[in-house]
Amino acid sequence: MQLTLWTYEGPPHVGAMRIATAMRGVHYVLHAPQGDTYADLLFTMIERRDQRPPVTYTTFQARDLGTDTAQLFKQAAREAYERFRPEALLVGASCTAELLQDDPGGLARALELPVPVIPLELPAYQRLLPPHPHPARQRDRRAAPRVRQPAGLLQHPGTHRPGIPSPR
Amino acid sequence: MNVPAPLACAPDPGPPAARPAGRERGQRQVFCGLTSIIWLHRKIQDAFFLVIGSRTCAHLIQSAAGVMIFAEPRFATAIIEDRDLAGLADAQQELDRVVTQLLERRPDIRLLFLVGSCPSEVIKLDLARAAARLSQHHFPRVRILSYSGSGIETTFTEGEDACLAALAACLPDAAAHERSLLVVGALADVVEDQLRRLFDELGIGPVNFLPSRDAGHLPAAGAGTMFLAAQPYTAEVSRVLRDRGARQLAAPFPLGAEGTTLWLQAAANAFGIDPLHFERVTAAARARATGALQAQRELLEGKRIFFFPDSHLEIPLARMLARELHMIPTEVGTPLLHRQHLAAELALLPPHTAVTEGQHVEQQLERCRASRPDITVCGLGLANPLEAAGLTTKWSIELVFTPIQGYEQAADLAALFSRPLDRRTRLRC
Repeated sequence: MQLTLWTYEGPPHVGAMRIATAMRGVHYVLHAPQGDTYADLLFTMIERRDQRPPVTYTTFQARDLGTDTAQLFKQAAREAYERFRPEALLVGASCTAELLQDDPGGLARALELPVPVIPLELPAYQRLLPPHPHPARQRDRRAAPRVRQPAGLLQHPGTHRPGIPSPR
Repeated sequence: MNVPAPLACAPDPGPPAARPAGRERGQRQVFCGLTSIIWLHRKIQDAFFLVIGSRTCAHLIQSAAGVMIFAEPRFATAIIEDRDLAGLADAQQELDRVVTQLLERRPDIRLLFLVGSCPSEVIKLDLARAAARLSQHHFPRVRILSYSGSGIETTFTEGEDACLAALAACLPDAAAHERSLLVVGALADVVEDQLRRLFDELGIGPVNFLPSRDAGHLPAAGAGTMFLAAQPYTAEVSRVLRDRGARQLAAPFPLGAEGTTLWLQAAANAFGIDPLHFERVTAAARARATGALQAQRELLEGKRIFFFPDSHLEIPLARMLARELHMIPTEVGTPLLHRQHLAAELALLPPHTAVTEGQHVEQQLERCRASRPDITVCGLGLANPLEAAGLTTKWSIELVFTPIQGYEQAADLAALFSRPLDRRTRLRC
């Protein structure tokens, strides 16, 4: 456990969202609890994009944990495919869903969608990297090798913005 | 004087199950309860909020409250790592270490909240036990409490509800014959001061607020306590207070001139205040509010408004906008509909208003785009894409941060809706 008073370092799945957003024809289905959709505002508010990022979340809650979260993921993946018709589907889990061990990759493949399914392994609990003078690059270093994207894509404008403007 | 006739008491809400509400399940585009730390840490000035969570939790708080970087913030995250997941005993020890480290670094902390998150709940890290254990070491210098702000358990403002419920459970006992009024739900200091002045003039007292600005000051509660909810998302703290014998006064929430009057009146009736005296005390402020609203009504009358579910303020806002500004709520989304807690509001909402509980964000976006409302209240993730589609939006979080309660703020509340419409009109010219 590490006491963090303030940090700009985001979780690795937000890095994957940046990649999905930087590409065309890709949709990312993210197994994640209610509230993780806050990450959309990094794109719609801080970068002022006029589109939501191409991400569908399962947004599970307590009542879903009592039933079948794997089923919820399959339904979200199927609906996302039908609605957005991507040419490739990225699938993965945020930190909380990683603990559920539902295997988004296996579940999505079982749907037999007619497009490639790319599971992303983004371990959220690994030991923090030693301090680095460039926080954005530190975050990107973790996401980059696993999704095999050219590094240039990861240096997305807006990466270094500190936070949403005060609403007043 | 163009003032609606005062009602003798809050309207009879009727059977709370009477109004039908659509219910949706699907992706929910809402904040989790951790977000409420952003205003709670400013409101309770010597409290500290330690989230026990993941890097995502830290990132959420940082990106949503990034304006705080210039000062030592009064919130932090204890980030769970691999080895904490391996054994819960170790995680408890680690938590003790982190709390000790924090309290050494920040001797000014008087009240520490251990705030549960999605991952700490999934691994069943017992924060109530941790708070009790840590209190043994640090009480009375520091009071340590716990609550859950996880997205699994709470939506947005419900994080405040959970925080206040934890506080309410440890209020000192009041003797049964000690009559007092407790106002529940965080209000801006300026609103709190105005309301306190009105209660003083009415002769109602003693009046306490939960949360209070000062963590050291915990009001007593007991059978003589009557409480008024100032915010609609206070169902859980209300339950705790009722369990302690306190009596809840039924009223709509203090939004708009009408809402504020009915809210104050519920307290006045409970304290046996003479109706003529009530009228004398409130008349001037009420007249100012209704006069200012009159000007806003000319801009907003007949405008159609669509609410995405987010802050739990949606139903009281829709009531106020419909009744006092003659706007037309086409759909009022709410994350969760507490019929009993909102009974007085639901009774005042225009009868044909569509209320939706829960969310399927894609379907709701389709409905919103199809109905082309004049203004849409939504979260930060949806606002700019809807603006790009030609819709005018208002951020729901702005309605949480801005002082909007009470007579003096009624026109400010209306202006929050008229300004974006005015801006769009000017941009078109």
